[in-house]
Amino acid sequence: MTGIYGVLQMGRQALATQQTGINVTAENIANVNTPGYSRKRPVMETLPPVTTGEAQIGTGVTTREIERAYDRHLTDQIADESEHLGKWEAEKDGLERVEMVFNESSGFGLSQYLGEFWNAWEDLVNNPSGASERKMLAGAGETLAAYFQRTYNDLCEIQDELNRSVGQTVDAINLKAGEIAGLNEKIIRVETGGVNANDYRDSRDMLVKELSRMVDVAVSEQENGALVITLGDGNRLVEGSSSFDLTTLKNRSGLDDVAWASNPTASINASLSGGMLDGCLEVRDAAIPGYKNDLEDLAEAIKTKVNELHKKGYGLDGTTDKEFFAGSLSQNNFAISTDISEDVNKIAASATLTGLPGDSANAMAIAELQYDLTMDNGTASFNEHYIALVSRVGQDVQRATAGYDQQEAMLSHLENRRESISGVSLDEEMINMLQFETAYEAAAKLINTVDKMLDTLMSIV
Amino acid sequence: MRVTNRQFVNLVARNVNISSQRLLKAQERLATMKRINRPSDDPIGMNRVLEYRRKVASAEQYIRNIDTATIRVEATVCNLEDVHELLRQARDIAASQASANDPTGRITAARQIANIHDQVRDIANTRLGGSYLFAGHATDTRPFPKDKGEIYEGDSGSIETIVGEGIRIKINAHGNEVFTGSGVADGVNVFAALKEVKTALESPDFDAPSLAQAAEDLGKVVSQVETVVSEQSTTFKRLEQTREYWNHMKQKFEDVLSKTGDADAAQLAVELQAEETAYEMALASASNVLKRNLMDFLA
Repeated sequence: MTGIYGVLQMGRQALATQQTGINVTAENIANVNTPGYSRKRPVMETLPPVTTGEAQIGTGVTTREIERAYDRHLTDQIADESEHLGKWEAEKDGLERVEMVFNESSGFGLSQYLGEFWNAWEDLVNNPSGASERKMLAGAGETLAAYFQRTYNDLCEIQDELNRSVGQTVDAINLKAGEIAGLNEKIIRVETGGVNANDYRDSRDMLVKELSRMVDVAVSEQENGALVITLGDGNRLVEGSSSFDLTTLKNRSGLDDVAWASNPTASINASLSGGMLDGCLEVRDAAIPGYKNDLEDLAEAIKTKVNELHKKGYGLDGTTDKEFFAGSLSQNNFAISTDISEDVNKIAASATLTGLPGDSANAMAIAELQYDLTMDNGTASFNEHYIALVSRVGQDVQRATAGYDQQEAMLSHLENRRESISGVSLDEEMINMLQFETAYEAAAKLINTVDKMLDTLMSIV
Repeated sequence: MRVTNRQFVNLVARNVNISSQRLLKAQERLATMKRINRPSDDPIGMNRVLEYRRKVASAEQYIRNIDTATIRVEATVCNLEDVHELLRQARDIAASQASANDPTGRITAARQIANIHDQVRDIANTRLGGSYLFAGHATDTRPFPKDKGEIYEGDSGSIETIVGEGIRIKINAHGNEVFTGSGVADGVNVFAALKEVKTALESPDFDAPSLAQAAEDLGKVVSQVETVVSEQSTTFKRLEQTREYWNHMKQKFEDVLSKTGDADAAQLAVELQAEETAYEMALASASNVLKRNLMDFLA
């Protein structure tokens, strides 16, 4: 339409459009601190021109759409890196707990008690018939065995804690998947109507990022705007408005494996490769069992070697073929044998029956076990083996910490880029507000002018 | 590149967090005065710390072993030196009576010899801490009971002590070696020899040559004892030297332990100061950065 009414219309549309601009600015300002919020821009466009005799005359402005400032690739990258971060974080946490079990820095760790055990044998060598030396030795053996057992049990407890985390994480994943499916439905509905579902998309992106931190997923967007989320084994977690639950299943060690609720007897642990879930499982099923085995090997070796020699020797009362250590760590009963704990005179210091009570050759042989290269294919002594274990734990923690720090820095950098593209800058919004406000005033002035023109026109008639 | 409010906030929060983490670590080191508070602080350092702690404990144990052994060796030497003296006296008495012709003197001499015999037997049966010194492994058996005469009731077990990695030292004197001469070339039984002398002195048909012969036998016993005494003295010296060695090494180990694991107080103080300053700067910059925006300048 042209003519005065055309101009009036343009004024009206200008007012409305600039008001929309202020609306959008207001929303941006209100959400400056909302995490995951992408700033919106009104996309203004000129209305189609009208061709009159002499020229094409424009018909004003309208808001074509409200656009989200958003980089798809960046969002995907952030989700990806969140997976790695989640895994490193879970590994670091788990391993730091393990490290506390091997805390040797105060000086009262397994290394100390092992040393005191060998020293007690040497004291017995110096006085093989001494009652107090025998009692001290039995005590040192007991303390050593008890400390071994406690360390082992502490490791088992950490596994239990991690196991609980696995269950909790699975529940959280199911929850998030359900929410994403819900948002999928809403977005499909809104966008089939031809409008951008900006806020729903923001929420969904946040959920996907949080989900990625927990488990590694592959995300792809379908034409209707819905996301399809797939797990490592190729099965769908979310498709359209449906989500598919995960569940836990008890494995052979009595701990929880991850499985699909639709196929609850098949474990999918092997197909996980990122996220907190994988990190927990990694520490629970690979790292800690490794440390436990190492500890068990050491305890078994000490028990075997000491018992071997001890059985050949003779106690003060002439008894022979008695064991010094009994039980095993995995049975939760590693300790000195009841023979010894009931009667320390059965400790076989002497190598011969006739040599009693002054012969201490057997005690000497046992004491000298501490120098023998009995571990690691004949390359390490008991103490060296243990020290290497502690060192390994330290290195594993260092590695996980370095991985985490590095990943955190990388994610921080990506988030920064995202902020730069999608974040709200109050200064910018202030300027926009001024811009729209001025345009609004101008449009109002325009309407005023047209009004005066109409008055003039009316007064002619 | 656009810069938004949250970027400032995130950056500031991150900086403050990093600074406070470092500050926390520095304070921990100050509180424990240790550089390594957990294996991951320095895995290789922790390795060394544990190794050297073990070395120090080992050295202390060797010193303890040596101290116990030294007491025994000293006791042995003292006792044997007494025996040596007594036997020398006995030999001199016998020798002088052999060349004299003094029946009353012989009676007195016989009594002296009997006395010496008993003293030597008592010394041979010495106990140290409840265990017989000269009985080998049979430490609860009297080696020379009176009713068994000159027969040795102990055994020939060696008492050893550990003074180093796989290093054992024999520290006892065998009662049969010293007193009965078994296993010794041209060995003589002390008690038999003394009895011989006494018999010769008390014999109504005094036979000077046989007394002289008995005196010579006593002479052999004296050197027999001497040999063992010098053996024991050598052992004593060796124990002393080894003890000094371990004392010295223990100090060296403790030095390395300290250097690896302990925190240097002066360095720590400087570190702590630096971290505190960095932390304060992070906080100060935070307040500056977050306050300013365009609204301060619009009417």
